[in-house]
Amino acid sequence: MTSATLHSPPRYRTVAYEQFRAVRMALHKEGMFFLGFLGFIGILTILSVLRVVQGHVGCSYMQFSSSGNEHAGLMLLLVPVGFVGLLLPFGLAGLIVPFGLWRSEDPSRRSYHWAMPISRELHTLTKVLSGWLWLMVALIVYIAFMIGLIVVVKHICLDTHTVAIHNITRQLMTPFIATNILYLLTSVSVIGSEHPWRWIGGSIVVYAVALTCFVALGLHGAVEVLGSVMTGKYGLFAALFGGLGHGVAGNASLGPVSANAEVVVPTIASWVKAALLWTIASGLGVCLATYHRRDA
Amino acid sequence: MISSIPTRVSGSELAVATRGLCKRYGTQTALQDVALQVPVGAVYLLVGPNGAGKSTTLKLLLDLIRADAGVAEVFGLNVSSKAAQVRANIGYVPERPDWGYGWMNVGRLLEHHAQYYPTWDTAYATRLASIFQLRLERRMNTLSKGQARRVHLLMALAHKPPLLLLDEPTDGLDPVMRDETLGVLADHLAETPTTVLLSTHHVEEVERLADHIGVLRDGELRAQLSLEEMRRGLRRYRVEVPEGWLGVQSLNGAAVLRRVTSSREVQWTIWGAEAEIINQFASANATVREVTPLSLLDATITLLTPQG
Repeated sequence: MTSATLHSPPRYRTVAYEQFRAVRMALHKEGMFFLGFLGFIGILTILSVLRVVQGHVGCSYMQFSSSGNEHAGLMLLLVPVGFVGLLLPFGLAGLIVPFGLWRSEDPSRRSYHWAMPISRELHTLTKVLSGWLWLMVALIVYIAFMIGLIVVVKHICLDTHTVAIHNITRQLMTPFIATNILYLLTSVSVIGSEHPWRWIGGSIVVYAVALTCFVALGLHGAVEVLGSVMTGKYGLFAALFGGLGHGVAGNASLGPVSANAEVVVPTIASWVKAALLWTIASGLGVCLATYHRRDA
Repeated sequence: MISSIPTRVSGSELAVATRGLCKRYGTQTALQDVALQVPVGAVYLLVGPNGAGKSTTLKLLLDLIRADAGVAEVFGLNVSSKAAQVRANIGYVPERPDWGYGWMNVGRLLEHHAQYYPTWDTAYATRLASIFQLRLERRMNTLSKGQARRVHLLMALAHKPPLLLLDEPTDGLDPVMRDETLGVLADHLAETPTTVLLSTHHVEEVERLADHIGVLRDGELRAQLSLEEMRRGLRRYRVEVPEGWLGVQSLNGAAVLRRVTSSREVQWTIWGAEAEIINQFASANATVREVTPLSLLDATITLLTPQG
């Protein structure tokens, strides 16, 4: 016991809210880039719509097709059209946001974060959650923006080349799940390592080299096992892109990814299982990296 | 009986207590069996050469690093199992200037920091910001070392913690700001009941504040006592000796820390009871001409100098 009057730690709710606000600031650069990207697409769309309205070009100028020779302007951005296209920028966001979140805070410089009067593991997980929430908010805005864009284009070009989207829920879930998995996987290396890019790049290189060696050595069993990590029924590709397997129909609106993909197209059940498996695995990875004790 | 320099503080309620604290970095031993005892309300000066283990000790108390062995307690709370509660009661100024979020401006960082400390005193923080001449719109990663140090001091003081851990708090400050900062610290201690564990190389600056001292060398706590006790026990004796003097046979177990000879005069720095030491010199035909207490700086240098 002591005669000193001791102070209490802060309420978790206060800390969580402050983390949420601070993370918004930490991701300021990424947010500005995101808004700039949306603005760029928006301006191109307006210019394209104006050209159609003024009769300079036909509606095929804006069609959601990857075939034909008239594609220019808006099409440059929407070639990987529909929801497959949504994955690309947000796949990148899932990879980049953890780096913005922990900017200037690699493990050897994380002592400020760890010196706060809250369990350091809980504090780290709260920060990861805050980053994830902002990422999801941005994704919702982005999808709403893209849907708005599609609706505008469809409204102008009702007579031709419509995009028919089936299984809308599944289509909408896919970018969220893919972004979530990529965010968590990247977070593991950013939280746990001084050199996360080396780990990410190294993992890809090691995987590719191992696969090449197994193929060269004719070790078919090993090739199959290793290959299944990426392209198997429950592989990473199935988890990331599986939701798009049968969802989009219409005139080639799947775009190049699903049109030319050689990955196994999973059923909805196996996609859900793959997504769950990778979400749980990457979530566990985040927890392990967080709870692995490091000196500041 | 050998009168060695104390390494235990007795009879006081302790704000910080460690037992058998050990920390190794690979094959290097940073701390070895350290039993730090900082009484409640004390201003405890932790001194030692670079690499002696001072910063490591402070980080251990915040649970920023874990000890390989031993126990550390702050106000009776185990720093490992009650880390969050312990940190809620500590104001910390780290040695490194890049502490905090470099991408935040000063004002936002203070606002952020305040959210973690329910006892944050906004009016006091504003007053300190004015005294320290902080420009709140400046980004942290554009501040000089001294400016960052002032921000860190404000962050440590404004929630009025019962314990301050200050690692080189005046490092990087210009002389005027250094004086101002020590004045602020003195005012803070006068207004708020606080225990301070302070590590600095500028020992002479904190002489007016400190009341306890701990000496770390090579990871071991070589001495730990109140300054009053130190001034009483550690003295410099100017002794005149006869020609061909053979030396003193025994100083009754007193610890001789330093000896400087110039012709027939010898200056001894000795830890022990003054009267007994004078008697020993007298019985060895030497005459003690002067006995003076050491300044904190001289005492520190003496205690830090390895004995031959």
